[in-house]
Amino acid sequence: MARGTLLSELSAVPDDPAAVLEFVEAQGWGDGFPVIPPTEARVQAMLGATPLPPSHVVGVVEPRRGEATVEKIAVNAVLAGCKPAYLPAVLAAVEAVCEPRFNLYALNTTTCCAAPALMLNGPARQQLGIECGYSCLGQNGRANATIGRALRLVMRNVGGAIPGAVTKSVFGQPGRVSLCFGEWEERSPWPPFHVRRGFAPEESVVTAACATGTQDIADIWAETGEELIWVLAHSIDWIGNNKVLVKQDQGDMLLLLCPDFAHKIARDGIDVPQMQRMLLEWTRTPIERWHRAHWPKLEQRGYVEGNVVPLAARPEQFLIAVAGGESGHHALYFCTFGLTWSVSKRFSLEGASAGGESCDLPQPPRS
Amino acid sequence: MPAAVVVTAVFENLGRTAARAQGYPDLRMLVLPHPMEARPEPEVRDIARARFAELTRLVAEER
Repeated sequence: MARGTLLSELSAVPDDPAAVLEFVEAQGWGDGFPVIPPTEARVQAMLGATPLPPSHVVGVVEPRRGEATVEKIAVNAVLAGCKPAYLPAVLAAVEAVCEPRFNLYALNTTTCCAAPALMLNGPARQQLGIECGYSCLGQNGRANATIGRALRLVMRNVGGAIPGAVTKSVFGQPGRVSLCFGEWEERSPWPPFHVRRGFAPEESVVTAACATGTQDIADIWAETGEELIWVLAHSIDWIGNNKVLVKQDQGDMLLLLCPDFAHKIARDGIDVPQMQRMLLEWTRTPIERWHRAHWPKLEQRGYVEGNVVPLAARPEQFLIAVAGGESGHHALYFCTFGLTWSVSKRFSLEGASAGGESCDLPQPPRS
Repeated sequence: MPAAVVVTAVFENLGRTAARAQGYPDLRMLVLPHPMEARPEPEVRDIARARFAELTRLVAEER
């Protein structure tokens, strides 16, 4: 059933996948990969997955400040290859990145390669077929690939994030095509990420965090949780980390543990808050690791405490979740570019994205 | 209050896009060569001296 009159302009394109791709690329609407033609029938079918009217504005997408209506998001979701059932998750993802504290303007214009990393929690993972385990960050599953891609296309086509012209990311990264996965809650020794943020276990939640890339952390030697956290800490405290360029109390960063790592840490009685405190302490980097000429520059910015440069100011800036395959030996760090706070939004597959509600997040201390 | 922004060339498009989006399509903008970062300080100062009058004219012009 049609969800209402669509406002998008219709274009006549030959019914041929190659011709459609040529057309989309010529318009500057694509990311280089093949697309599904967003015919009126497909967009209407997509819109059937939400009770929201097509004209409802989900968010204003920086830097162009384009209004992301449900219709425009649905068009991009079709382009990306989403099933209609995915739309509520895409709507919630758009809503999340449009929150001011996510700072999409900075993310879309920075010279860094920052991208939103979308993590799903709750029952929608099973209902949509979100991959949480092996190769969940890429190459495994339509839901992961297309929900992340739909958000990226909205950022491009509504927000104006055009590489080179507006987006000044020097390199970009594969995650700027799609980066979406689920937390493997069932293999985590701790409460799920969204529950630790104040949501109910039965709620479905999408969290947008910042990722300048997917940094693998390997270990085969740690026998205790403490040893392992030491490895993790000293794998994320490198001096070229973009997080070092901003004040320590800015931004949070997501660290994914494979189930084996999480259980090794939990087995030793270490819970998430304790792990966060250990990461905070062990990412205080001796200033000697920087070139001597950089010391006064770090000091001028107030980044130096004694003779160390902390990576963060508070334990809560280290976000911990469990995902990845059961073959073990790896964690994964999404380095932040520093000027972004992760945002979580609940959504329902029975109805609409939950109208702007989200949990409380730690706020930077007042200066 | 009259205002102008200074950008280097590769950021001009971004600056104009952002200005339009924020409701300032006619934002006064002085575009300097890029990159600035690797130039010796005397050269940067020369550019500043050479373009400063242009900047003050931009700020002062009637619109």
